[in-house]
Amino acid sequence: MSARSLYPLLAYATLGWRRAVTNLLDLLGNVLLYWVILAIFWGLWSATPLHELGTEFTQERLFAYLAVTEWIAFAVGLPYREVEAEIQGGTIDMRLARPIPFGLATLAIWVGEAACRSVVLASAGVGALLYALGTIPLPMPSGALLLASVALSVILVLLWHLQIGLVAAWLGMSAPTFWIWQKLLFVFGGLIMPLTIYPAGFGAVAKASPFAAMLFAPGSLMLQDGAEHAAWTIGLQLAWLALSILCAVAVERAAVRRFVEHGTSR
Amino acid sequence: MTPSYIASLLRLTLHALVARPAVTLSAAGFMFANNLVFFVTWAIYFANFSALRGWRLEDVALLIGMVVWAYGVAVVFAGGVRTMARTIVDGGLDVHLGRPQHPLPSLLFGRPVPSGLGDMASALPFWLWLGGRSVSDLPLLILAATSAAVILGSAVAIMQCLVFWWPRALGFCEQLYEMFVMVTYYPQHAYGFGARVLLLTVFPAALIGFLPTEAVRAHSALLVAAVVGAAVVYAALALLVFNLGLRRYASGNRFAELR
Repeated sequence: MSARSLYPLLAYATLGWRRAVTNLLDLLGNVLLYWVILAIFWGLWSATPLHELGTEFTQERLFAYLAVTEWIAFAVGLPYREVEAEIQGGTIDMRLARPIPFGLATLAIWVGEAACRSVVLASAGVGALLYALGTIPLPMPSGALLLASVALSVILVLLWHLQIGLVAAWLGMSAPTFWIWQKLLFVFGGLIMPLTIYPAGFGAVAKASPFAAMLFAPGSLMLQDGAEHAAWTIGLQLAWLALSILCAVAVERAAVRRFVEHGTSR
Repeated sequence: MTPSYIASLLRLTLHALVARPAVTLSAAGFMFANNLVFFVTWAIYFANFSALRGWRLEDVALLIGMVVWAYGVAVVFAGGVRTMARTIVDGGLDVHLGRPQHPLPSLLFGRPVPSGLGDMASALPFWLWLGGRSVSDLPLLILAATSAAVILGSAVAIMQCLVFWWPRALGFCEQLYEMFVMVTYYPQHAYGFGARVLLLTVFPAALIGFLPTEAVRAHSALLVAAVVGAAVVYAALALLVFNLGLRRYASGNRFAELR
């Protein structure tokens, strides 16, 4: 891909950013929702007999972990719905006719939107951590690493949203597939609890799944320091990112083939 | 708003559900699986911890059963509540205003959400299998959870009415709704007194899952009566807020937004 071909993608990303930034009420709603979830789990963790774990997990550490995983979940939103709606409405054919591949253009817009939400939610998360803990339990170098890891997670999750949205090309709707995928993400990704406290066998399966790279990997940076762990985190995410890109390309090609053969209006 | 009119609307709702059986069954099946997968998180939690302020896995299963039944009943029989704000903003209320009856029933008792059937069905394994309740508890469970459904539908209707006064709050209404549903899924006895009062009144999430669960756990007639009473109060409140909002609805087709 040449540098010149990146300009339209940048324009799409800027469009996405503007779309998010002009919708202030949605951003406010996101922040409120994020705070409510953090408040729920602050209450739950404070009522949980954490000493039974027998490890070094504290309420503060688990809260910081959750702040990161929920940050990613809220920053992404539910963009698969757009693709689903375009397929259901038959308007996707107009997008397919454009010179930039549909998937790439859609992802660029979503990245712009997610970036805007990420910035707002990061401020909200920092505020919540400072309010609840009085500090940010993360040294500066790890902070930069966390940002990189969260960015990779967001792109990874968006790639799956694109594929889930395209499922509507075959099933006529994407929502049911999304429900299952989302719950698998919550459970195998360790949205609420780190995978390290899962039962051994289940935890191993979860860690081997792509979901671990989406939530647990960046969240674990709030639990564990060290270069070795950081390298594992980024390495795992890059590996799943490469695989997810291949999957997304394959699914998009198959969907386009289906549109060509069966038409786009349902 | 006669009972026969409401009964006719509900009959039409059920006909709409069976019109596309494959879509209905697949959506319901996916939702059924979705609810059970979500419960794994709690199973993992209680594999690590003995209790959550006296609650065990069975109690959380009971609570989730209450919430999914309430949600399922609300969206199957009053599915219009999910799109109420958009209908108001888009001027779609005109269609309902043109009818000889009050517009609220036809607005609510339409557009059934097929996945709600999966929610209702999944309540049974939550109660009878994971929650360890017996079949003899079912009438009490259904009474409490159906009352919770009325509270849920009414509270969501009140939230959606916000657009009568604030048409640009469409997205905000959706997020308020998601926030509300999300809070209902977690046991609220872990929170402080102030938060619990809020969750039992202004933002009545505790009335959907927590209070009905406590009513069944304690077999308390008083708590069951409180849930049923709250259902009546919130339904009346929803009607009142809708009627107040309706006075502001004066458009032909769309709200004119003054920026």
